[in-house]
Amino acid sequence: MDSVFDILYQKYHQDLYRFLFYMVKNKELAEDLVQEVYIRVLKAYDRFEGKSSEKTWLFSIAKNVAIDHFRKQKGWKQWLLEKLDFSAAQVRDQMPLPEELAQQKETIQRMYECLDQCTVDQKMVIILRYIHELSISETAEVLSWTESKVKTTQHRAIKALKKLMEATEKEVMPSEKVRP
Amino acid sequence: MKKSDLSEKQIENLLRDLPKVTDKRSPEEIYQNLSVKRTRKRLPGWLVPSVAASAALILLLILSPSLSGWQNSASNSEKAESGAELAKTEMKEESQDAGDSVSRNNQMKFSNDDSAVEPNSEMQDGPLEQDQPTAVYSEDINGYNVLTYAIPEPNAQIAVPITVLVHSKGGETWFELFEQTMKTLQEEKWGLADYFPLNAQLSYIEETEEVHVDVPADHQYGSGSASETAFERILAQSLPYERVKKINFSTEGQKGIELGNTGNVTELQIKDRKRHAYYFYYPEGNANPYIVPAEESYDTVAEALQQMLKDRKELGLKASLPEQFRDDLVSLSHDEKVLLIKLADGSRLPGDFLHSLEAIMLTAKNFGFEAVRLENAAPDSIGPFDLSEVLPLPVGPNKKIIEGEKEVGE
Repeated sequence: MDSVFDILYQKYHQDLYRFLFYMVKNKELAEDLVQEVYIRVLKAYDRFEGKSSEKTWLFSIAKNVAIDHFRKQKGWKQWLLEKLDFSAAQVRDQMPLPEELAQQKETIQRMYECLDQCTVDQKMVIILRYIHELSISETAEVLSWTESKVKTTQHRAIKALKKLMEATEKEVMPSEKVRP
Repeated sequence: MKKSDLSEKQIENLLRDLPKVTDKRSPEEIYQNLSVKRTRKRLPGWLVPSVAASAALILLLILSPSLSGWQNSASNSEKAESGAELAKTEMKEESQDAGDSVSRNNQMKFSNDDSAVEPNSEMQDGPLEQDQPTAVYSEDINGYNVLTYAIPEPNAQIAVPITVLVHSKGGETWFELFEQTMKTLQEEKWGLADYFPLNAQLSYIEETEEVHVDVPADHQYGSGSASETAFERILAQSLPYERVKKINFSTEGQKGIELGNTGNVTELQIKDRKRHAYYFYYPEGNANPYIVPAEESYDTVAEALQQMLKDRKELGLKASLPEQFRDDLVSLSHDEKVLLIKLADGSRLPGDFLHSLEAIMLTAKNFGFEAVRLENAAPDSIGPFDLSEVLPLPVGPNKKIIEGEKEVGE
């Protein structure tokens, strides 16, 4: 096996996979995409200059792969819809929950669903900051944004998620309240 | 509303609690997929030139009557009528008197393009031998002795390993047989360059697994860097690693040999040449390829097979696997001895896959496998091979049988 691959796999594979999984919410697709990341990385590894850390470099490639995937997979119409932030998520097919999530309590599952309704930018920031626990500056490096853009996007995302969580809870509550 | 007043802090905590989803595949599996995918990605890159090449060929065929009129103004319309047939002979003529390297290059490009559209090879030569395998298989041996010689092709770019089957008179050592047979090789008849017997005295020391090569003072092996690397390469590839680990050189008894750029060379360690990819080499006017390894070694058989989808123009070698194989191949797996090649459901191997199959088998052998098995292969058989069976690997590439006059005595 390629030794570069071996090293990258050991150090970063699950991180990259997780990032892509939360971006696309589909395990098989994430498997394909993480392979695409390797292809790009192995091609460019010699040119990695060490200007950024290896980790942020890899995440930035994973981000590009995810974005390219969105552009490619969805017809321009759907891409446009998403851009315009229609609540396209409601129409979208429900993916079966992966087992790791199925075991979680209801609020976490709901949070997982709500993530879908964030914009792609918000989603990226949320995943990098909270799931991967990158710092603001690392996140900025991955996304090639300024730190202040990271901060504001993060802030808006949290606000949006809060709203979404509250809204979905309202939907759930009534039926629960009927019972007692 | 009241209960749902989540603080932003709580939202953040919920996000942090999202489970750590993991990829359960093994790194080996991922790497394997990666190898397959890596070339698939490149598809558009080479598809374009090969489509262009085929288009150019079709154009060439259409235009060849007028083209030949061009090059040879004396011959006009009558000649033109014989069309493609003529273009072919014309090409041969041209190549024969191609003295300078420029026209040789042109000619090489020519023949490359030409064989890019495979069915065409029928035109070049009788299609009779098409479905004969080229390698030596265990059932061929049948009392013969097996020797391998690396013989350069006319441009001395590559050495073609030829597996020679020869009867022994009995009693010779392999080395004696190796030396005797060297004199009976018919390189030129085989479309290769006359190289053997070597202009040198050879001797073999069995205990130390060394061969001693003594050349005369006026030997030509050192003139020009091409012939010098050829000399070393040919020796190294002709002497079997199982028997020879080192070559010692001398010039009329004096230690060392003068090899142009390298200077004085006293010895050469033979490496165990393994893990190569095999390509097609079409000698002049021959429909059947020689199946030839390139220098590079690869870590996995998957990598080697991928390489075999591409021509090696700089060496005059052709891809040994059809482009279609890229899509038909689902996966490669193996145990210690058998390489399993899984093909897509409903895929169908092309009619001229026989030599590609041989190239796969030779590559597999080079990676240390003992057999290959094809899963989902259609049709059921190719040439003499029953694809529903496990296929034992060949003994060596490029079979030539010598029933020479010298051996005819028995």
